Amino acid sequence: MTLLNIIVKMSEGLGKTCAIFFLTLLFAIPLGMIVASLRGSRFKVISAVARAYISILRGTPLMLQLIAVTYGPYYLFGFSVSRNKLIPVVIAFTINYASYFAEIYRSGLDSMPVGQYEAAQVLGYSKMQTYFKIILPQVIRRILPSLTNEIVTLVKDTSMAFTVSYQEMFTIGKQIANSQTSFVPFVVAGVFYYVFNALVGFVMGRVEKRMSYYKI
Amino acid sequence: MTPICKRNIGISILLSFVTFGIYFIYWEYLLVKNIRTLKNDTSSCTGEMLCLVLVPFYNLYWWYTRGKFVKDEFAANGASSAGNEITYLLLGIFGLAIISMAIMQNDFNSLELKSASDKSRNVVNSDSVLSVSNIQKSFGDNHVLKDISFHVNKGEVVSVIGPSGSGKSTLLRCCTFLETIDSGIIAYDGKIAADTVNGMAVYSKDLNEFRHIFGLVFQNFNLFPHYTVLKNMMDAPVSVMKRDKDEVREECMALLEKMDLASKADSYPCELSGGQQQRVSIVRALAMKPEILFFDEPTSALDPELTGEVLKVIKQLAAEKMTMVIVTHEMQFARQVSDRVVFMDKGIIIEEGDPEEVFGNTQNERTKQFLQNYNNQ
Ligand SMILES: Nc1ncnc2c1ncn2[C@@H]1O[C@H](COP(=O)(O)OP(=O)(O)OP(=O)(O)O)[C@@H](O)[C@H]1O
Ligand SMILES: [Mg+2]
Repeated sequence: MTLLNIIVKMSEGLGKTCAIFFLTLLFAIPLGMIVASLRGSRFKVISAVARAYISILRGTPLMLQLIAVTYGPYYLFGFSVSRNKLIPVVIAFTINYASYFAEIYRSGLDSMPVGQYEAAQVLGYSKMQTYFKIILPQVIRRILPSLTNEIVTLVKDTSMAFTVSYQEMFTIGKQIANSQTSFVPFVVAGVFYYVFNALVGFVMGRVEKRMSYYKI
Repeated sequence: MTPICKRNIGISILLSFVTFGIYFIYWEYLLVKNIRTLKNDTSSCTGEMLCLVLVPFYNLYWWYTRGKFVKDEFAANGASSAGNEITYLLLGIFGLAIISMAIMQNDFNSLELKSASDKSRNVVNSDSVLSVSNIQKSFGDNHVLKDISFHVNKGEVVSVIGPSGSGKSTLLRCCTFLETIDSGIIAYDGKIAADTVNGMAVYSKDLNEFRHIFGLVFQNFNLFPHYTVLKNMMDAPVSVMKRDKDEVREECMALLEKMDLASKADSYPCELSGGQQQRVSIVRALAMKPEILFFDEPTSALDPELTGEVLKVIKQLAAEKMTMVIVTHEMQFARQVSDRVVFMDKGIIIEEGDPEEVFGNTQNERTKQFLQNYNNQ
């Protein structure tokens, strides 16, 4: 198999890699916000549940969670494992990354001076308005660097999907490597991830720059 | 749809009622225990977040489980019915509990003052812009405000002075609903905002109406850093009071012009000096056209050479007969600008009167001592 062949073959999985990446971002960021706000809830039970969620999902390997989400329903409830693994994979990634995002998001919320809430309250803003107009934009600005970190890690973590044989780029690469006893696919994968992350870095850098028109 | 599916939906709805009921009882319990207050739960917007984001999630999952499991495996394979039912059960509990909680949290954020008692009405001075009677406030064991009563008439400038920790800031924060009182009455324009029923403070449901009556200038400005000066001023009138944007812009520009800040309209707060920031925060409060303006040590976060410009603005407002309550450590300024001085110590109003009386020849030992200490510094 020529290098070109390997690259073409692996590129076919790139769509799935991107699917994991974007869908995880799409779901994990809002879910993270929810978990973070549940964690700060005044209901002790709810905040305890959210805390437990974060601690468990951050304390166990993503690989294990992937396996649990994909095969768990079969062992627990007897559902057959669905052929399309995208859904369990995205669910596993989402719940895992939501726990990280939740912590990042909470740190951002905690760093907001209470005066911002008070100023908004005195001016008569509703809680919704305060949150979406005053707090959220500032929180996003504050957490963007750590968010970028996490997103870069996510790009690399998509390769974990091979544990459940989801046919994304790295899984295909690994299969080629096995059948051809070649190291080349791994190098190709490395380059792919590197370029992907360079792109992520570029985009996030632009976003960060756009948001830093004011000093905190 | 299979009958079992219908049953599952039924179970979910039933569970939603049960969870709703549990939360309702929980809230009532808090009310009885006097734990439920207007406490501004600022750090989390759980309710709103959930309503907005979780519901679609929940629906998505619902749709997914129905489409995938129910149709393919579940219908073909009766053995897995228990699993499916459990899924629905858990979903029902989780999703609906959270949604109902969100609703509850929104609705019960404040205790409702249905109608003020006649007794309270008699206490309130209906001519005053602000009328406060018998306010009590404790933080744990720390009894910060002990039976404070005073009122502020239209066009009056009242200065509040006193040693550190005497409760001046707490008093302002209670008047502006940033803290809840334990008992007492707060009324604006003769309308009761907070009353005491059975020894417990209850707040009016329309606190936002009252919030339009006053403005508060903070010690550390609390401008919104991500908005320009003009947007800082305009946003609340436009998005809270729903006023016309162009009209508000014109007014705000006129205000900025008057305060010599017009050139800064498009600057961000971080680009301004401390004195300018404080002046912006004053005009931001003024943009809401408050009847009464509270200041909590407006100059103490500023370098000494910057205090002048802020004090000048306040004097200007006083000359225009703006009603103001000013907590300050600037005795000279308080003496010049105010119509009345309130001296507070340890949560009590020790003395209240004409500034010349209080500063010039007070008969009160405690006041004398405080002013002497102050002059010696
Ligand atoms: N949120 C709070 N929680 C607990 N205690 C508080 C809180 N806010 C104020 N206190 C206490 O209330 C007392 C009065 O505080 P306050 O800030 O009202 O004093 P002050 O007169 O404004 O003092 P200063 O002149 O230093 O600003 C202090 O003993 C303070 O420790
Ligand atoms: Mg103070």
